[in-house]
Amino acid sequence: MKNLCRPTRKQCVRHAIGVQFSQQNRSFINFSKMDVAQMSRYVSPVNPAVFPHLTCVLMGIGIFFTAWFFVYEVTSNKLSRYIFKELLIALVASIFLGSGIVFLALWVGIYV
Amino acid sequence: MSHTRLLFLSFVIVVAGSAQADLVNKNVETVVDISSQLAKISNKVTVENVGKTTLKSLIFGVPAHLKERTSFVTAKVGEHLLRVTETKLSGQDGGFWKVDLRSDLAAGRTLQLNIDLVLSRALVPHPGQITQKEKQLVLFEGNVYFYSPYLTEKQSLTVNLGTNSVESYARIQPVSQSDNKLNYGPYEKVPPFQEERLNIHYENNSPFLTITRLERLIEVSHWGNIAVEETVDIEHQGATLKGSFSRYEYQRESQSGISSVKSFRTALPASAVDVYYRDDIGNISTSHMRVLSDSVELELRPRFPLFGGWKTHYTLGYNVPSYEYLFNQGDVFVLKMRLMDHVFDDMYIEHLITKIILPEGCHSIELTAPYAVERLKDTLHHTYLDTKGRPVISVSKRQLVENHIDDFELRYNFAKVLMIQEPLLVITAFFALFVLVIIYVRLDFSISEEEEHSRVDREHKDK
Repeated sequence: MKNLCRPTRKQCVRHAIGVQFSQQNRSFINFSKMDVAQMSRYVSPVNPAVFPHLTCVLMGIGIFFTAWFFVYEVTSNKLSRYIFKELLIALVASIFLGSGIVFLALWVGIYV
Repeated sequence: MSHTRLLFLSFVIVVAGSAQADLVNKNVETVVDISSQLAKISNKVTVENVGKTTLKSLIFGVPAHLKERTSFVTAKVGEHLLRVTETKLSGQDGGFWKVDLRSDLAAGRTLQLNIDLVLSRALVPHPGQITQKEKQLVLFEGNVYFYSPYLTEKQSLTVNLGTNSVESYARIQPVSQSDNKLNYGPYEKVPPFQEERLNIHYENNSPFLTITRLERLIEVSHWGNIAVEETVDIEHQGATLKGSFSRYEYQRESQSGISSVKSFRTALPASAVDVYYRDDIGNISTSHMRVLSDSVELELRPRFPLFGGWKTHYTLGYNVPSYEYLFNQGDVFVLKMRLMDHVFDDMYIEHLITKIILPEGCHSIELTAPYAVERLKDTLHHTYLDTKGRPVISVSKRQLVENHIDDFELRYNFAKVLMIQEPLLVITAFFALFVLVIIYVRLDFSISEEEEHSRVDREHKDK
């Protein structure tokens, strides 16, 4: 509150009043358009607070399946390989690793 | 014959249009604040409709020499803003504005309104070059009278200098100096378009910083964040430094380099986090951040003090949560944010460019600016996990002051399903990698066939 006496803030407040007025005008003119006041504030579908946890869990599961995939690839041979099992592990690994990477990017501040 | 009549008729119309003698400025109280680098003129005007018809609008102006310097104009009745549009009066070379009154002004009625103007670059350093130990003197050339197409019955003028060291001032009687104020008037029966230079030569050591270019980048992410980055070019446009700069004297004497700028304060939104202040070399460590109840205050100290004619360049960035500025209803989104923000008090921006980067897949974009801006060509921005690029809306405006801090509204449509696109891209990339491995292990690069056979045989034997 002590800062309210600063000229800038005063002007900002004065401006806020001006904006309100011009908004009223605008909404009056464009009656068909939705007004901001009636809209809801937009929040992320995933709470930013859980980004770190999501990253760790998803990446953990992803890395487990990735490891399984590579272990399977190097230990199996031409005869013991089973293509559907390979593809299934690959799919699960990529789903978890992929979404984990996205949340890792969001966690570190790369807002994709 | 008919030509001359037409000419005469048009002449009559022009005269009638420019004179508009139905109005009279009953009383004008003007306050001119020239204690900062800007000249802020506020007029408290009482107008009277002395004609017989109802009036819907009135006109006011500035003399020709102040026309280009007028950055901001506003008219208010009480707390209500009135619509102000720039206009021209034939035969007059000054700058004029038309004010649309909220309610009609009936014949014989009076109305009190406040007309505020902000002039930039109206204070000229005089002398233009000073040494480090000298004080900065500036010359203000204003107009004594309220510049109006109507007769002014009574006017008084107060000039707020912010200092009591005045070299000289226009002596248009009656005038008196008291402390850091100059009181002119009252003047009576001032005819329309009356010009009289208000020349004041005085000391002004306030920061004469001009933001020559401000590029504001707003990046919207639907994952709940809005990133703001401002690239600022600042130049000290006060009296330029004559001779060399002595760091020793600057540190030792408090009066040395009094017109130079050591640091300034920037106010960021209260929800600003992850603030960074850097330039081409890297982080500038001389900054302090203070979280206040209604804002985040940043004290920025450039790498060197800014003397007249010196420049600096830096980048300032921060993140704000989306719920502060982004609104939605179904697939319709509205971004309501400041077109420009505070950099320092009494700032002056020569050129502003605001770029808004929207998420990929936005369409039907519609911008509502708080004042007339130049809309630049829409471009595409390519960054992480993009396919065709994100739409960028750019606007540009020149000559802005603090009063221009106002919200724009950007309306766009975005299908929320498109947010899955980014994880899907990474998932597909990983899956492609795994498929490559699956294919690779099936390729046979061995040159000897026998070994393979023998190995298979051996395994058969084992079983």
